[in-house]
Amino acid sequence: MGQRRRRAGGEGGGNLLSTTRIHSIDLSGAEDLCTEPGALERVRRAYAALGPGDRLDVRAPVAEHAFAVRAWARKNAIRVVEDGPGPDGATRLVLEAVHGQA
Amino acid sequence: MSDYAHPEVLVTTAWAEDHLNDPAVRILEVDYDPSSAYELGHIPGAALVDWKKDINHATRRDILPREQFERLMGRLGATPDTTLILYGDMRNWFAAFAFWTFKIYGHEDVRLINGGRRKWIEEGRPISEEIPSFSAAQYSAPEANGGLRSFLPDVRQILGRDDFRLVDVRSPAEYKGEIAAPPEYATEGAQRSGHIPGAVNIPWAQAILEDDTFKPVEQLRELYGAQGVTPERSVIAYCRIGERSSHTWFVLTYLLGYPVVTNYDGSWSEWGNAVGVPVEKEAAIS
Repeated sequence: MGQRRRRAGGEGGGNLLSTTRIHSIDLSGAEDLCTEPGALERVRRAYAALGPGDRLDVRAPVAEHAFAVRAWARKNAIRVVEDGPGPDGATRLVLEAVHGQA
Repeated sequence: MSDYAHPEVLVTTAWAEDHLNDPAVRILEVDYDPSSAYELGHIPGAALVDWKKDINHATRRDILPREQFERLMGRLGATPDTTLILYGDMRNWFAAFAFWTFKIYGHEDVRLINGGRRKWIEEGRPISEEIPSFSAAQYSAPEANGGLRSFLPDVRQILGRDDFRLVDVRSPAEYKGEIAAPPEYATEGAQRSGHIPGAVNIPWAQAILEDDTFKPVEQLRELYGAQGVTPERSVIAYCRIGERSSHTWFVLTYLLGYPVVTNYDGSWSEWGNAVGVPVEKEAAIS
């Protein structure tokens, strides 16, 4: 389940506050077994479930998976608000849902 | 790699990068899900081979027929003399399956990129979104080599024989019967769970290292030998639809040089649905 965080909302911020729901997905172990969807498919589904303004925090220890998430986000004009090593060294990508679905 | 029985069937990522513009070489990305892999970026000049559309029969459950293989090669501008370099998504499973089918149709020079797409990207090697095109070629293939493949009756016939070893390369949970029909793969479900009687469980991934390259030959010999999978025996590998087992078939045939190894591509999605065949359920050995 996602967490709710309050942040300044709307262009220019102002006094308005909106609630951002942050969902997390960890791609470690993705594609080790043949019983789950592939790494990017898991991200696609998680992203599709977001509401407008929600964020998806993706932990991608495998470079192939991080590459796929970036390329898919770029192709679908999805905003990547963070991209870099997380606290444990694994790549962390945070996607923001503008319209709720890619 | 030089200690493998047939090191010529493996190339490094560096070798592949050095041959991006080699006209004698055709680099092919074999994907289960091109929208999650090839279409997002691939090795420059690599052509897509879509496992579902290109490597399978269009209607019945089977590998591609010879004429379809010839058309595929023609479309890729490949002749029987072309060096085919394969890699792909899902840890090279489907590239290994393509390797196996290309060998069934007698293509002489097929090689796998050791470590595949995952290693290529990990190393930061070049990626392209350009789709290459090739001048069509004429390709004539021999009849399928049936010696590389096992069917259900073949497997039934060797049950209980000590001169054969069945290798179940699925996960221990699948082998033990805890998973029968993964909801993600609707066409791969089975009525029954477990494994073929007498099969040993050596999951495919035990043959590779952290970077997806194959383990050294000594480690591979120890891995399979410890469970009685030795070159003196004929070996039949299986999984659920035959793609992970083609990875193991590749290891046993080309890296260890076992003389008689077949891939039972009907695998659990056939055996686990067949009426009247015996099924075993027990704890995984490994």
